[in-house]
Amino acid sequence: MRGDVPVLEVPREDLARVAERLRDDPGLRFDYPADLTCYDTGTSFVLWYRLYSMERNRSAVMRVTLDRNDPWVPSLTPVWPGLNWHERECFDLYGVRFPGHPDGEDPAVLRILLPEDWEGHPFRKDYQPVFSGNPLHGPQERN
Amino acid sequence: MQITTTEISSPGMTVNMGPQHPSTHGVLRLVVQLDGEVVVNCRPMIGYLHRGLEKMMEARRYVQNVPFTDRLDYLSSLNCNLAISQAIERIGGLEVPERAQYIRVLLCELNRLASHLVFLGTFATDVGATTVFLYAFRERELILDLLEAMTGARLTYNWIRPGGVAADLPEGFADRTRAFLKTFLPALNDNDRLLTRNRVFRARCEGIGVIPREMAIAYGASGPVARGSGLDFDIRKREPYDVYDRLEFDVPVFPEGDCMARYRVRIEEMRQSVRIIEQCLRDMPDGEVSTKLPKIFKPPAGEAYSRTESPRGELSFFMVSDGGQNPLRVHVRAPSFVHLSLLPELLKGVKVADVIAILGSLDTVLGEVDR
Repeated sequence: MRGDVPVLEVPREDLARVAERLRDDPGLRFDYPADLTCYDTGTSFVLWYRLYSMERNRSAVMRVTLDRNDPWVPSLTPVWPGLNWHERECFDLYGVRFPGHPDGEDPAVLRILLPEDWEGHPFRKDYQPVFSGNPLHGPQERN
Repeated sequence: MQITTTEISSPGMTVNMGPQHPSTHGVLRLVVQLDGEVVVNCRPMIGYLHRGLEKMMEARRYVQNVPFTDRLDYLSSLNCNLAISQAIERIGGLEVPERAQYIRVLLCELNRLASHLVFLGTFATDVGATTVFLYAFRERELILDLLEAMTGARLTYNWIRPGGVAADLPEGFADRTRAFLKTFLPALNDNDRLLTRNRVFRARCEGIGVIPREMAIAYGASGPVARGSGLDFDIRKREPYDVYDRLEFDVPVFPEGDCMARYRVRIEEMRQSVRIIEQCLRDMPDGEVSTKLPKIFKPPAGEAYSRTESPRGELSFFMVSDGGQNPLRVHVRAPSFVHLSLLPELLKGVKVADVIAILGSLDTVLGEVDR
């Protein structure tokens, strides 16, 4: 990361514990969930959490690297409620699952930007669109 | 005669507001469960405007992505241009000339005025004061004229570019802007008087849709929504970019957290924007307005993000470079997206008519929600 923002590489197993510590430790107090997103490097998924401390005016970044074949992390919505929709978006576009999310694990409920019956996760680098023939449901073949 | 009361149980009703309902300001659908007139539950359905802009950006050169951002928050395109330009500058290590920084701030604040005027007009219409809409748009028209003289466009400006701005101010721009500001403040005061102490307006806004301070933090609220909940949180002050640290302006904060507080934050912000614009016109130095970008722009591999204060809140771009000519990933942290996620919590137990007022007071733009 360019700049002076500390970046924490967190393994999936420790994520929930680290998150609570970051929020509650009086010396850290990262109480503001500024952003969460995901990206696909081609070999793995990276979840990128950006946190901010309202009283200390400091930012921090948490990175979690995930296996492309089995991408999941515990949901941090219980820790920062503001991550709810960001997690849904990461599921929708990348297929990262968030066990413990208040909306459960049903794809039709979790999908947020795409239609609930969409197949696949289009922001993955290897995504191949499925042409359904129905203009309301899914991508169309180009003429 | 004896009066007996009987409990009448109703199965409740589910109402679909939108996606074509005019008060949803775009294509937002709210599935609202009602018990009589009271909202039991609400689920916002978004995505009707999803164009996959972030994915499209991965297939283009860094600089080619700037015009896309005009289509995010289309009421303040210049602020979106600024946010992506800043991210590209950070990932590529580019410097911006001082004059360009002043022009950027000037344009962004003009755009903030234009955007807040749309809020003023539409929010007043939402709660039943239709007159204000016409006055607000009359003033907005004058700003659009200024921006048109500068950029040639009225909505999708594409004028702030990585390394600076597209061109210098046109001749006479400073004088025209000063002349506009002279008429703008009295007009704003008129609008303010029409609403702020208007009893009907206040009855519709005060104590409605209260966001407590803790909730605003935990949900990541920003901009006027956060400042209407007593948070002194403005990126222009907390992490100043461009020349904001050299300009004098106040951050209006109201602690009530209701629709009225959010409305008053925006009104005060317009006054502060006028101050900023005046200072920019006064202090702007001569010089270059952009840095030349290399023909083949390949930023080193890594991550970078920008943080800017758009009229709606914290707008930031996150970029990942793999060393190639195209970004590996671009992500937009859109304030409207975050604010919409507050709705289910906020609407529990309110009356149907207040749904419109609360939604209007969040001032969301669906272009940046759906991306």
